Amino acid sequence: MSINLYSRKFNVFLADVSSGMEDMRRELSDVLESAGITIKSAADGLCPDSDCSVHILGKTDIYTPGAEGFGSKAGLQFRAAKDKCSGNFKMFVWNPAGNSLAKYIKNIRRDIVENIIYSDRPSPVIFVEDLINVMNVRHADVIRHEPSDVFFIYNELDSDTAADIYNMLRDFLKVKRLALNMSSGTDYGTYISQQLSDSKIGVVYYNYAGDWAVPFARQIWKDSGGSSSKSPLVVAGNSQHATSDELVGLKGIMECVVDGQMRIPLDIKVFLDKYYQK
Amino acid sequence: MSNAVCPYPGLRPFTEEESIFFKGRDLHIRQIVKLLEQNKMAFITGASGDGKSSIVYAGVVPYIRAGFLKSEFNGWTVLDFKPERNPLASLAESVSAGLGVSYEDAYAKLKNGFSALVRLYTDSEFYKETKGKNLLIIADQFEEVFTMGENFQGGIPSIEAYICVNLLLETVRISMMENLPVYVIFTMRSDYISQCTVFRDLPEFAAYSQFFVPQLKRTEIREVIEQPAVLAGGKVSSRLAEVLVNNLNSGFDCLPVLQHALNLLWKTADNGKETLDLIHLAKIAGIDRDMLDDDGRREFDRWYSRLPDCQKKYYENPGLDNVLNAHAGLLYESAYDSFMKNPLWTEKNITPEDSKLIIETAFKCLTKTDNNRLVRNRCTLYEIKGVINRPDITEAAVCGVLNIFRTGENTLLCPFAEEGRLETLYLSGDTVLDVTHEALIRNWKLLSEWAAEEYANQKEYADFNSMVQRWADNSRNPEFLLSAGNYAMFSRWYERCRPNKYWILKNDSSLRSDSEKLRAAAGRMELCDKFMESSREAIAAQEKSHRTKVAAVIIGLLVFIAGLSLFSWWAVREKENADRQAQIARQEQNNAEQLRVLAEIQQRKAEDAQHRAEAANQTAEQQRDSARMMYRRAIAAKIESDRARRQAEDAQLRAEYERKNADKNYNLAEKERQNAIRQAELTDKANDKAEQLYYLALCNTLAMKAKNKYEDKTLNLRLAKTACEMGRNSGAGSGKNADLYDAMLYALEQNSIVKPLDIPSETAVKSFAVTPSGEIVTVDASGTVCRHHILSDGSLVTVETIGVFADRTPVETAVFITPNVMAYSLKDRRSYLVEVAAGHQTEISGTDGYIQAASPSPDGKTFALACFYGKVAVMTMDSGSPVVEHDFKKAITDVYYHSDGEVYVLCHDGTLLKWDYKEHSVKNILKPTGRKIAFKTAAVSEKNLLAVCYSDGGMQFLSLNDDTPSVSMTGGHTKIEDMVYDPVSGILALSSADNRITLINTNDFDENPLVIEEHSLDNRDVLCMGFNKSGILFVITDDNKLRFWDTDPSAYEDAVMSMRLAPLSDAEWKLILGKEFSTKN
Repeated sequence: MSINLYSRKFNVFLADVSSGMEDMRRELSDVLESAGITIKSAADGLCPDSDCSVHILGKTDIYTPGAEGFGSKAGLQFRAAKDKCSGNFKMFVWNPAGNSLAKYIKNIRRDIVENIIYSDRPSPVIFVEDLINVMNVRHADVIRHEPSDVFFIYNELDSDTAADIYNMLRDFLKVKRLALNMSSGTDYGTYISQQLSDSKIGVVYYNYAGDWAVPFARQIWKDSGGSSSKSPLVVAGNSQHATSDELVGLKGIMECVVDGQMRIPLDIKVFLDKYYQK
Repeated sequence: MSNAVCPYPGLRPFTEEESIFFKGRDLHIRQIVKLLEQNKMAFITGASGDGKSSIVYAGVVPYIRAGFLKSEFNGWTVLDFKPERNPLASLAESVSAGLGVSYEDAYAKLKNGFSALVRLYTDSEFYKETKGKNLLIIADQFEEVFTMGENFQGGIPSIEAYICVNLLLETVRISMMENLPVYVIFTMRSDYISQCTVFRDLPEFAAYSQFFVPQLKRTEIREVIEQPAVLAGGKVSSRLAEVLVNNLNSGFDCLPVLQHALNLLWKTADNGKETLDLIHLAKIAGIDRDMLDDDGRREFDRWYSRLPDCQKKYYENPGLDNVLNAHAGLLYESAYDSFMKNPLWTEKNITPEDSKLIIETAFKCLTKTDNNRLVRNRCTLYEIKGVINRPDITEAAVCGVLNIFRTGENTLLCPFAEEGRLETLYLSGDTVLDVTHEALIRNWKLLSEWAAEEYANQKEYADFNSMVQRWADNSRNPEFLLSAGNYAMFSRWYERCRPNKYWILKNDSSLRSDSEKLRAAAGRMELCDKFMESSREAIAAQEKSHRTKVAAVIIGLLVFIAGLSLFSWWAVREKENADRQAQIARQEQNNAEQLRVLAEIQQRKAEDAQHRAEAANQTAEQQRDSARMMYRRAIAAKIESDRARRQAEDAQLRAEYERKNADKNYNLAEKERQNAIRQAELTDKANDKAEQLYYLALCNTLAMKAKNKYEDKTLNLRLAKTACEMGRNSGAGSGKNADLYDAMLYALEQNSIVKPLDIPSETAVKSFAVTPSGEIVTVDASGTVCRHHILSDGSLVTVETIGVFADRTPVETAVFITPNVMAYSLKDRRSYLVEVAAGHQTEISGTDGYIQAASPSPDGKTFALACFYGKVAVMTMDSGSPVVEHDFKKAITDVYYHSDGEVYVLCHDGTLLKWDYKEHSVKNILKPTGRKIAFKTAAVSEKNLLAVCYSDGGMQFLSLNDDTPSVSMTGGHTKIEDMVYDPVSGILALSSADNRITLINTNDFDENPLVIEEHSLDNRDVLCMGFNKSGILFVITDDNKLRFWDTDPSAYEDAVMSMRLAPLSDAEWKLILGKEFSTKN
């Protein structure tokens, strides 16, 4: 088990509120400060330079066109934040009273899009915990990778036969290869996902390591977006050493199991041409 | 895009096949795998519905199968089991299926506990090199060891449960001690953790490697919701995801409830073809229609209006926690129609009410109250049918009605039914049914009501049963039968609950067998029926007797009134008679007065006689008391004499006992004396041993210090010499101490006493041979063959350049078959045979690729020649003409000519073949390794062994007598590249890729091998090796230098000891030891 010791170095813009919610805003401000989060004021704009904004919903509707407080500062800040909701900016809409039956709150919830987070947690501490959790999502480090036609992956145990296939493939395609030493403890997952996204096709090759290749291909398929991945994955190998029934039905994952391994490079080329002709 | 696969499993856990859709727990999976890597086990605990099973089956298992856990083999064998009603039998079943042994064998061996499970694995083919697989054992839902009455009663575990726990813990322990590729995972509900103390060592092991499944955070819940859809090619709208995250209650069941809702959402959204959105959630009763926009509301209203009225009630209180309730309720309502429409069932003589009765009874059977908590209760179809207790409702009908809860769409009950697989649709009576997840029990309101009703029934039964028992215990005494009031109450309960033997059986958690339990339940039911019947009869008899009494009273009254009238008439007549009698009576009274006076006189006389009799009586009593006192004194005297006699007997026994004790003490003292003598002898020996060990430790320390670099290089020699002295002082001698050997070599190298010799060749030496006279014959890349001599001052001179045999094409490979015969291949694949002494060569025809290896026949007339691409030929030594040849169609790394007609051929993939060229047969001696490459063979001739070395540093010895594997061992830390054997000393020298040479003594495989470390080779690659007849090992490295060492360390020891060197000063001793040297230390 591990404990999150991440930093909270991000700025929160705490928007103005409708009347009656000032105390709640103050309480939330205290909790945010106590959590070590920097609060940006609204003095320099409707939605100043910050990583996210927090809007507290009250009993009064200030967000629906035509409503009484629609033109208020809080309402303008709400719309400005919504317009800014792209990229890494996130907008937190907090409904501490939990009056989710109010019509305007239903409207807001219906209009939620990417990067808008709605919460009706009654406690500001729980709300701030959620906020920290969302803002601290770690994105994987970008590892150096380069565009290629084929990303050729194999187990180090099959190095000798893989080298022949690699040599043949690179005669007519741009190939990036990776020999995995599974006992080295290296974390290959991130690199493989990133390189695969920059390759037209991924190939998991095996000769003796058939027991390893199929589960490994499934894991790679999962880590790289499954059916939504733009690069298909081909599992190619020796039919004597594995069966790939487990791959049947996974969209974006193909198999190419042959007896004569020297046919594999040609099959890969044919597959690549057909896939990109579609 | 086909979205046939639903990425959300619903209430059931993720299977291993569905692992690709298991998201939100990536970090936790890595943490568990790390625990397994470090501790060989993981004890996973968490609350109900936290996804413990899913994290294992869909997270950890696929992750390690994909190679992300560092272990010995590539593949994995997974043995998983749930304890159920007999943990040992469940484990044996899993072992039988996973390791390919019969169930009976597995059970019989596992019953012995301790190492039995590990041994079953190590004896199986899964621990053999060629088919090796790591072993993962999963004890899932381990809390069943505590929850099942058969496993745990009154705080005491059953024997089977105890053995099962012992096996699992011992497996972990042995696996850690012997570093076996065996791993164990437990999953258990955390509320049972305190009960683990009933098993020895379990709390320690659990604490040692525990993983508490953490609650998912907001971002992780979003992953759980959104990512599976993305992987399956679908999408979840942000607003739906936010509604689900916010409406999800924390605490029990939040994940199963969410997964179930997502499963229904996916199906409602046309199997993911539409983006999963609020409208779909509204259709599964998970959100109020008012939350939808105008279009959504219109669509929902249209759809809702087509629903049957009986289903609309489930949409009255929409919410995420209502989805499961609504789903189960809709199935309950539609089960009858579904059953009647199913063409597979022909027997359909049930009514809609029967269908509801079947479902209600089944779910009542499948739940129970345990410590005030509703939990699952597995039971068979046969038991459910029995509890229904209706002859017109068959098992087939029960199965058919319940099938709607088991289909792939719904999966609320397991085992699941699969469309098109009849064996899963038609269940046999002994099939065990179970609720898929307890979340169903807690969220289906109707089921909660049924369960509460069932609980009340059980409580009433408990009361009733105690009365029945009291009646039975009192010989069925009618006084213990039910009173009229109790009878009325229990009659109503009897009518409502309609108990039968199967219903009673359901509550029996004793350790008896099923048949015994059923017999006991039938007996109990009979007794209950009899009790009710007897109570009814007794109450009826009582009422009858009461009625008879009332009639008797009325008749009595009538008789009394008639009698009274008669009596009045009789009384008038009697009064007249009485008056007459009164007169007569007065006369009689006077007579009586006279008689009374006379009687008083008689009474006084009688009183005097009584006084006299009383005085006589008192005298008699005094005499009797005196006699009693005399008797008591006599008895006391007798008791006193008995006590004295017993005391005398005791004293005699004590004396006897004391005498025996004295004898025993004398014997013990004698033994102690002899022990003390032995101890003294042992102490003397221990002292000697300690002194030897002290000197040995000093020897090793000094050897280690001698391997350091010093400004004064003689210090290396002085340290080595002193280490030798200490080794000799130790009594054991410096012997084959690898550190000392290395230290001596290092010291000699530092002082240039042992040094490499330059080979005067312009191109790289390809091969060499040592002639019987000790000269070195080399062949280099230009094809030049030279003869060299080592002078007594240690320098190398070229005695003769025998010839340049190659034309301008460089030599690729060269092999000395004998010191006088050499074969080589040019880059262009032409090959030649050279007779060195004569200086002439012959082209070898028919070779296929480069010459890889050659081996002379024992008589020296022929030799076997192997080419890399698979051809092996036997040729004459004088002309190189082929006698016979064979194409093995495999890459060949080495060849060994064993005896006339027999050649061993080692292939690149690890196969060892025996080629009998006279019989034209090829026999497979060693199978392909599957993961390692074989490099070299060497024959250990006097033992008739053949050594084969592999790319992982491993070695396999093979007996040439019967071609069976003999010793296997680790020959080097990395790939062994060359191997050569010295028949004089029995030393096998192995050069490995880390530039070290290991010297294995084949006369004693247990002896620690000496190692020529990389510094002795200046960290250069070894090109070729050979021994001379004095046991000196010659090596040519890739810097074209010849190096040689004596493989007998005593040669260096004698050399070092004979040197005149200053002894170590006190200051040097202090520097080395950190204190002053003392022989008495």
